[in-house]
Amino acid sequence: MMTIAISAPGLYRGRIAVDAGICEEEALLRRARGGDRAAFDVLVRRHAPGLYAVVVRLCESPQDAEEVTQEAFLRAWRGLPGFQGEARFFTWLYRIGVNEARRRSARARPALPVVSLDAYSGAEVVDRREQPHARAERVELRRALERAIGALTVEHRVALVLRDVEGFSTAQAADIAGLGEAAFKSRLHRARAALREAMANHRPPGAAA
Amino acid sequence: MTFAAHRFAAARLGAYRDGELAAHERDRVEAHVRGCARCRGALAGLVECGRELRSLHTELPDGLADRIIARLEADTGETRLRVVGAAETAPSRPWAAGLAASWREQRAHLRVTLPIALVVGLGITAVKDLETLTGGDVDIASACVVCGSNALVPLALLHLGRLLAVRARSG
Repeated sequence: MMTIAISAPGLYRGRIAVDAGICEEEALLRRARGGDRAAFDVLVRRHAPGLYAVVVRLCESPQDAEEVTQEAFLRAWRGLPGFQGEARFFTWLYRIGVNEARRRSARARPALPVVSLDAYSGAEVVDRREQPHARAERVELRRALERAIGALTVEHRVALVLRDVEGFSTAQAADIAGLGEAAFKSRLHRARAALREAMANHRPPGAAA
Repeated sequence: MTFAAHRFAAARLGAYRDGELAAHERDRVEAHVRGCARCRGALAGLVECGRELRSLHTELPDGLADRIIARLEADTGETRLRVVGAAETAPSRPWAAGLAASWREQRAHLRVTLPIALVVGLGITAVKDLETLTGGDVDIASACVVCGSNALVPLALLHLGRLLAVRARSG
């Protein structure tokens, strides 16, 4: 069988040992639902890094992302008595954060300069062959990816960031995005195609996402 | 290598990388990729790009978790203050506080009781003053006013009944 090293998608890059963490998280949730702020604070420390990592890619600035992260936790705390546990807590929390980021992005987007994919792919990308140093090449690739992601529509960004940057499973990412799995896969496909197009001038043919 | 096999594999490289193919599809893709340099290159590109995308993960800014917790604390404090404030003003007008609490509690039930009360109000109007509803010169506005006022008593009775039932249940 052919082997290609692919790291398995999982929650928060191992920040939570998923299996062991579920029971503990449910206990924390029960306490938090009963008004135990200390229990909720543990959930904040546990989920803030992952939530911030997602919303920072959806917001126009890190300050916006901070506000969205705070707002998501505040709303989650206020809405906790109504949370019936029909979804996992993190899925619910991320959905609140992603929706808030979408809302702000929709409001702010027209007023902000949108990076044109054409402009980006022409002038600012340095030819790969002119970069002798592998590290510099990686930094350049990272910048190019960040710009390309930033130029995607917010819905494409949601799909790409949840699945490809943060490594959620398709089911989890679809749940957070508020879509069915088939619709999410379709959106992810379009997001990857848009990213591939944006990166086409940066990478050798056939090696794009 | 056939064109159909190439097309099949090329369309599924992303799903293959994501580990989302069924076993028979995965086997077909692997069988093709072994013999197709173009697909091997594309798959390597996908894997590399996936790795790069994962490297874009952003760390939490220093102190943000503390700031979130502080904001939650402030929010909880405000809520407590509001509750304490309400309790402190309650002794001077206990009936008002009770009424306000009762109203907040019962607001959700209006969705059920209001339509019932309106139907009862319509019935009372029909019995008491049929001409308002069926008269030749029907004035819609005055019919609504009459029906509405006739619905107020049933509405109040429904909520009072519910309140008494809740109190009886809670002992």
